[in-house]
Amino acid sequence: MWETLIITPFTNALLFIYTIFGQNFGIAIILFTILIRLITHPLMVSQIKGSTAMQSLQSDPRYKEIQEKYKDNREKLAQEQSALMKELGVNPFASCLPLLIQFPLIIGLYQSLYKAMANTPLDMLTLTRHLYPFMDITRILPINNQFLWMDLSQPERLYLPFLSFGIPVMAIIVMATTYIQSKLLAPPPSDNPKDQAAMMSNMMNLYMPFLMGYMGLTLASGLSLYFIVSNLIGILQYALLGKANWKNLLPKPRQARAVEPAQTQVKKAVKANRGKK
Amino acid sequence: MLTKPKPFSILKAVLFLALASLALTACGTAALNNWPGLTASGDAIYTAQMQLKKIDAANGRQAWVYPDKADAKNLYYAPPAVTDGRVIAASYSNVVRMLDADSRNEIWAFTDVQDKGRFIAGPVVAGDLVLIPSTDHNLYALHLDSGKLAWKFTARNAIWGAVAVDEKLAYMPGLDHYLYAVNLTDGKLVWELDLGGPMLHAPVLGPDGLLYITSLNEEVIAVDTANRKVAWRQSVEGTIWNPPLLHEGRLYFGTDKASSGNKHIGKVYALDAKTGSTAWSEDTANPVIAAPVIFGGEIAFTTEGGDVFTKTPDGGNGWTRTITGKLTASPVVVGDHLIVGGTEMEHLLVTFDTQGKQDWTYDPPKN
Repeated sequence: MWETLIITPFTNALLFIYTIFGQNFGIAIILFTILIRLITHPLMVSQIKGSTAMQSLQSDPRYKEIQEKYKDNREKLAQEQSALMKELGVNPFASCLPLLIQFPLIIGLYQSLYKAMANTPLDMLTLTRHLYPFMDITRILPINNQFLWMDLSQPERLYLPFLSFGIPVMAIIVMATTYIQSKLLAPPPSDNPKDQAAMMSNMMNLYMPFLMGYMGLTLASGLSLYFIVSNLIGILQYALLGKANWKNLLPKPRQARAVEPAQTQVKKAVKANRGKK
Repeated sequence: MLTKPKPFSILKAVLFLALASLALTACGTAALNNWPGLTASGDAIYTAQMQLKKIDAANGRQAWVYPDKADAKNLYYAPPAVTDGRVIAASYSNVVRMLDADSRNEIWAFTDVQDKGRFIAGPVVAGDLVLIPSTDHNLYALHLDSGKLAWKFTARNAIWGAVAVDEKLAYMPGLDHYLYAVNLTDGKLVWELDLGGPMLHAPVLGPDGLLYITSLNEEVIAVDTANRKVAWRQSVEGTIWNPPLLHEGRLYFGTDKASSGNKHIGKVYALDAKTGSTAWSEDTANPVIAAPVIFGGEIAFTTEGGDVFTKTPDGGNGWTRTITGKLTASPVVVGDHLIVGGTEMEHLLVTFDTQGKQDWTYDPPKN
């Protein structure tokens, strides 16, 4: 089912783009990623609308009042929150449902990239069986994996004549774009110090670039290219929708200790927690 | 006032990161997989499936394994070459190693640029040279005794098939549709021929100088090496995933062809090696991925559906057995044992005698 509905069409589309746009796998990855992001753009818009509505709800004085009033009665709190959401026309699933639909598409894109870059005879056998009848394998092979200085089927390193080791340029760019994207998309700092969603988001912003960077370091550079293009398009989409918080990229002015940045708070709190254990 | 994050929120974040990394890395790293490469030498079988193993062909006992534990950075799938008590194995990290066949001690190791390519093809020993093509587009010629580079020849694209050699030339098939004839002395290109389709497998050189090669565009091609031109080409039904077997003037091979829906079936062929005309052919219920082998005077084929069957040279039926697994590795013969392997196997290796009776099986010893 997953193969038939997602992987096979994606793989064929990717290889079709490859055959008609200059037979360069790097260009095919870039175009295919743009195509998928364009197709999923309406989902992204509705996700943004949903999360904006949730943010306005959380800054509504009535919402804060309910939280304070029923902080010791979770059941009543949930009832009151639900009633308020209904009154304001906020759908709690409006922000996460589009994300849930996008997630399999992103994973499918990633898997089809790997499938198309058949690395072994077994991979090639599997690939030929997933090709639609109009796709001619003899026209597709050999796949031109060379893009700029990279072999897209291998982890990337840039070797310079004066260095004895290779520089993982793509992994560094993956880390940087993931970090920038997460900073730009971060909501304005919450004035609620107990806001768990904000704390979690801060932790993600901190660790996600490292995770993605590690993947860029160890996986085929074709996937790094996909991560980078995907991040850049994400940034562009948010910017065009006026939702990118460019101020988040600027260094923050020093503030009084009482309003320490949330990330510092989280770090300290995590340390304190460890200390307790 | 600082707020301590609840352990649950940290747990959720960690869980999300773990799931995300699992989803992405699982999709990515699982791809380096292939069917095993089998080599028979003397009374031993060498199998390359992530690790390299030496197995006693008489009883299926494992003599050694290299490396001790499967290592994603040191994977072996290409069938090794064995010469004078030394095993030459090539890894997916672009490293070639010579090991002592008894002790498995490393004698030498060669790498040009590590991780830049992969050795999908097995090495071939030609005199005092080891010839091995890589997906990094190079054919490497190494000195047999030292592992030092004698020369390298760069093709247009990745090379997946092993070379065939005569006294002067190495014949190398390319994914780039070209057959390269390279001088064994200095690695210089002598001639090349565009055969019109990607070639994944080693060519087979006949005693009369005809070179037989299969291409992914469902063709068997015979190249006259003396005149540097195609002698004949024969279209077949289905894709050929291994080199043909040349035996007493005939070429034997099987194919993988699409049937109704998503189902794949196979077909086995015997072609006249001189003219390419079909001597006989027969449909099989399952795709034939592995190369056939001569066993007890008959031709033994294996299928992806787990069938092992023999045919007489004139197309008569021999015995048929079915086991659990996809028999995609080209089988080997040691004495009166036919040894088969593949992927998704109940037992990693299974053996048959000439009457089709199953003998020993091999599974890795449990620690």
